[in-house]
Amino acid sequence: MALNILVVDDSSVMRSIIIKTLHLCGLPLGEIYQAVNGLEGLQALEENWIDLALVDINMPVMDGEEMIEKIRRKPDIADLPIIVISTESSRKRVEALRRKCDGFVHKPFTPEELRKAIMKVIGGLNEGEGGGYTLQVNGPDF
Amino acid sequence: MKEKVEDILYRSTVRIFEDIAFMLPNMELNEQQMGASVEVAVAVDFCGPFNGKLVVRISNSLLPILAANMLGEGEPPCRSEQLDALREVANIICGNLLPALTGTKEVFRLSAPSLISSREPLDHPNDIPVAEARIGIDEGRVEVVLFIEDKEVDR
Amino acid sequence: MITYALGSCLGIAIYDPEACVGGLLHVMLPLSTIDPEKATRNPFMFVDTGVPKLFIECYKAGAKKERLQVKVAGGASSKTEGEDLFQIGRRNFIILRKLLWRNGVLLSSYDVGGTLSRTMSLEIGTGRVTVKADGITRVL
Repeated sequence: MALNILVVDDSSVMRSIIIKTLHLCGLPLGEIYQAVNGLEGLQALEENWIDLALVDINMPVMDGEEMIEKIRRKPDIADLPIIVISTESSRKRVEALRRKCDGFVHKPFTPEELRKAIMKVIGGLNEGEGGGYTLQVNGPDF
Repeated sequence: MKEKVEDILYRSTVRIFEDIAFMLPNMELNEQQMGASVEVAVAVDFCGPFNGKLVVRISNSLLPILAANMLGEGEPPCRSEQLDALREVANIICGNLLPALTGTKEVFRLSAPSLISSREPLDHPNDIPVAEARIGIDEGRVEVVLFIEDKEVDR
Repeated sequence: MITYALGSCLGIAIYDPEACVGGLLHVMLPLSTIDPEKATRNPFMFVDTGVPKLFIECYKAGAKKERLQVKVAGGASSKTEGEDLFQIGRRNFIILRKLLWRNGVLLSSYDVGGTLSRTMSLEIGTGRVTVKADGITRVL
């Protein structure tokens, strides 16, 4: 079954990095939706079926923490799997975020770290098994 | 103490440029790098146990490479994406620098990084630079300056 | 296939489990630009010239990129980080990661850094990769 994924980050470069990693995970991807802040993210959730949300914390208009709190209060999407991707390092805040979401990836991250967090939440592929991780058959060098 | 802050600032900056932009800074700046201009700058304001800002200035020549490397693309993206890449780098440096200085007990809030003029006179009375790091990459240079509103970090 | 004395060097093993094709590369330095002439004579010495050749040679033998598992070991420092002025080990890994990211390949697993020298082996029949360091062998 194809997975619809929402990527919420005010940086377009960071969204591109996350989306590229998603494509390299070997997942059956459906639609990938993007939002630049928590408010846009909530709108995307209203309008579309989303299977997984990858959410930054520090964003203008509405930050990721507020977005997640609102998601957890809406019965129809309260159980949405959410992975936070953030520079947040305060132990207190990270613990609070971990209680509300399903995974936490600290920036800077390697694509392998992000893949591991996604696979842990989505499940399916065992670490170290399966095929390679690429869908970019013709790279510039190989 | 200032040396320690500068050392942490330097290491944080180098690590981020290596890890997310795959750029290899020189151990020491060469003549070309020392003479290079740093035309582009972004600032990240933060508040917490102490308030301040982090400014990252970079040579124009490095911006396309930075963005292309972060995106994993052969060709550099458009200018707006290049600037976005720099903003994100500044965000990540700042987000990692502050807990390196204070530990993970403290909570800081970072604002969204914003483009500033690299020549912008930083004459706000609270804009006192407490640490500066310069790194040389290829033909260009990166300067990172930490400003703190009070000198708590020196204690 | 086995390669020894991976200090700051990197051992890169790639394997296609369906075609049973693989390769093991031992690279010493990150960028061929420091000595293009040497890179022409021995491209496998450098990450940026050796890794593409490794992949391309495996394609010629029937491997498919989308099936290749990529495992890496090495990149150690001879001293503590503050004393390792040139950081060759770390730089080798950075350039490798840059190349893999550019070409849309993720690592399956890796054992890099630290100060210990490693020995890396790839069993062509099974794709099993092992790394030995400080007398201890483990599967990567």
